[in-house]
Amino acid sequence: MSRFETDVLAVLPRLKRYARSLARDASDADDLVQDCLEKAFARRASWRGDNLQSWLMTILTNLNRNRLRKAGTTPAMVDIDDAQAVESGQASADPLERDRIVAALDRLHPDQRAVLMLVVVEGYAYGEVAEMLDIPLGTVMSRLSRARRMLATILEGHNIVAFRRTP
Amino acid sequence: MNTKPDSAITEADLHAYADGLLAPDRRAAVEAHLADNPDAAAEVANWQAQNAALRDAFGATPAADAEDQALIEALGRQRPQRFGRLAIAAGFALFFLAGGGAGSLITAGLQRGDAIAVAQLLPQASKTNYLVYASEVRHPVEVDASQEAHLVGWLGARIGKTLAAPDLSARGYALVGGRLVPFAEKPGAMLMYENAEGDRVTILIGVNPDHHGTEFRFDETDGVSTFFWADNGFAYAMSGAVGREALLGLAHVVYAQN
Repeated sequence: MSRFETDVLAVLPRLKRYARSLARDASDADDLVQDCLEKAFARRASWRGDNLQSWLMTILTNLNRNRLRKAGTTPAMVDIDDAQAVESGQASADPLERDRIVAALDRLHPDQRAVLMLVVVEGYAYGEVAEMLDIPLGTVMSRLSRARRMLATILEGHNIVAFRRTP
Repeated sequence: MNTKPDSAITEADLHAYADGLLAPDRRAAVEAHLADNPDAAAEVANWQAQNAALRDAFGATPAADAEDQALIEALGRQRPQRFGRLAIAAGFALFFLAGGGAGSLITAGLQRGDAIAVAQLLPQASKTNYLVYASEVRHPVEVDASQEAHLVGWLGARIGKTLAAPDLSARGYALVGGRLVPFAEKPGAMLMYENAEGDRVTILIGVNPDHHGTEFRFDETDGVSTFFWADNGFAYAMSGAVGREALLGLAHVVYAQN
């Protein structure tokens, strides 16, 4: 394996995780990762050699946006089977909670969802997200804010309010 | 925004607080602000709960597996100008224009030499074949070993290869028979063997446009071991609920006889 291939393999698990957090179901997530890798290999000559993971996640974010744009602006409702397909293979303490949040995420705008996932699940700082997505810091913050308020509204609409045990 | 007009605390501070991205001195200022602003405190608590739920739902990192490695290696071997999905889609469109039948449409998708697809499908397909057919008591195969010549002639014709059933008797396995199975949207051949203890192993042979095979790959899922490899335009996979070493020994014999 070349250095590039070894490096891609090393970040692939995190790329898959990110794809799952953006996609409607497991098969969409697999398609996204596959498309992303094909693009990355096709463009490997243009990779500058720094932070491969961010580069791949940027490609994947853009692919996801394009794909949803092509498929139509309104994300389709998730049916039970699909929600369960995403669930399999991932550890979650409370399956009900998980289904609820996954369903709520599908109603977010894809751009807002991407920012939320990059910050919360992938642990990027706001400035890093701005750089990755090539948007101003203020746009990162407004997308994050909208995503959080939208999620809160949707989850409240289910008559269930997320709780947290604070120390 | 829930911040007071005269407050230096911005909404960005509140997000950063919820995300644990604030410097310690700033954190203290935000905490003081939240103590005076119950609405803001409730909202921040809600965001933190969302964070916890999202990390719980998506935070687990899937482990890299044999398929990942096969995929990366297959991509690494591609020529930069290799036809991608667009080309495949164009191929489909041409078939429509030419009035191609549905059957030929399906195979057109893989005719581009999609070695990646084959490499990804192989271990899973082999495992599934094993699980479905090896557990069958009365009808594990379509054609049994008593008609070996007919079996290999028939399956060989379907997959486009002169097929001979490998002789695994030196390792205690006898041919049970075989059947035609779908593999990567084309016909594939499955051969089944059994030892004196009744342990069964299956060999799946399908067309693989990738000629670059130089090694055995191993995968173990759900208690089923699989060795798979590419050889001279064909994909081979051997599965069984047997140990890795025993299966590798069998795989070497199969490889040597092809």
